Amino acid sequence: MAYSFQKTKDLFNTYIFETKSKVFYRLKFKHSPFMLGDNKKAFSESIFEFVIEVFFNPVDKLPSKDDLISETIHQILLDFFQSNNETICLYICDSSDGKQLVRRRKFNQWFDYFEKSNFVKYDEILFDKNDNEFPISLIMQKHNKYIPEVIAAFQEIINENNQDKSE
Amino acid sequence: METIIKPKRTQEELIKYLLDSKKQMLKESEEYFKSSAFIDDMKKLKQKQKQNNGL
Repeated sequence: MAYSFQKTKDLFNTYIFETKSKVFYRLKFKHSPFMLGDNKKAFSESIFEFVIEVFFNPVDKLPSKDDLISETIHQILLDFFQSNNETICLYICDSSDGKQLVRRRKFNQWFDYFEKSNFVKYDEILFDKNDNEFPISLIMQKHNKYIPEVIAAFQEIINENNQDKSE
Repeated sequence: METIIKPKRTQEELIKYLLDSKKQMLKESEEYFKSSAFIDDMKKLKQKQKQNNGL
C-alpha cells in the first residue's frame, strides 16, 4: 500500500504526496547529463539528480516512522523510470548542519524496503578538503545495461581525487 | 550559443556542484508553490486520495 502521489507542473520532474500525519513530501529529479564526466557517454542523457524533501510539516518535530513512505517512494521511482528504463538517479546527503549520517540512515531505511525489487543502489562517500563526509548514492534498475560503465565512471572521479589528494 | 559544461573532475567540485544544485532546485520551487499550478496539483492529489480511501 502507498500514499497517492501527484506529478506536478513544477520546473523539474517533481512529485508530491501527503502522509497520514499531514506531512507533505516532494521528490525532484533534475536532468544532469554531465554529472559523471563528459556528456557524450551512452548513459549520460539518463542521469538525474534526485532530492527528497519535507515541504510542509504541521508540527515542529521530525516526522515519525511511516512504512507507507517507503512504498510511496518506490512507486514514484517506478513511475519516473517508466519513461526510460536506463535512468540513473544520484542522491547526495547534505551535511551543512552535520546531520548527513542521519539523512543517510533515513534514506537507506526507505530504500532497503524496495531493494529486493528491481532497483539497485551503489553507495560511496565523498570527502572535501576538510575531510567532511558526503554520502552519495546511485540508484538504477537492476537490468540497466550501463551499470558497469556508470560505476566505473563514478569510481574514476573518486580515484582521480584520491590521487590528487596524495600528490 | 551552445553552453559547454566542463566535466566534474574533483570530489570537491562534485560536492559543491551537487549541494549548490540541490539548493537551487529547492529555491526554484518556491515560485511554483506560489502559483496556481500548485493549487491545481493539490486538487488532483486530494481527488486521488479520495479515490484511494484517504491514502
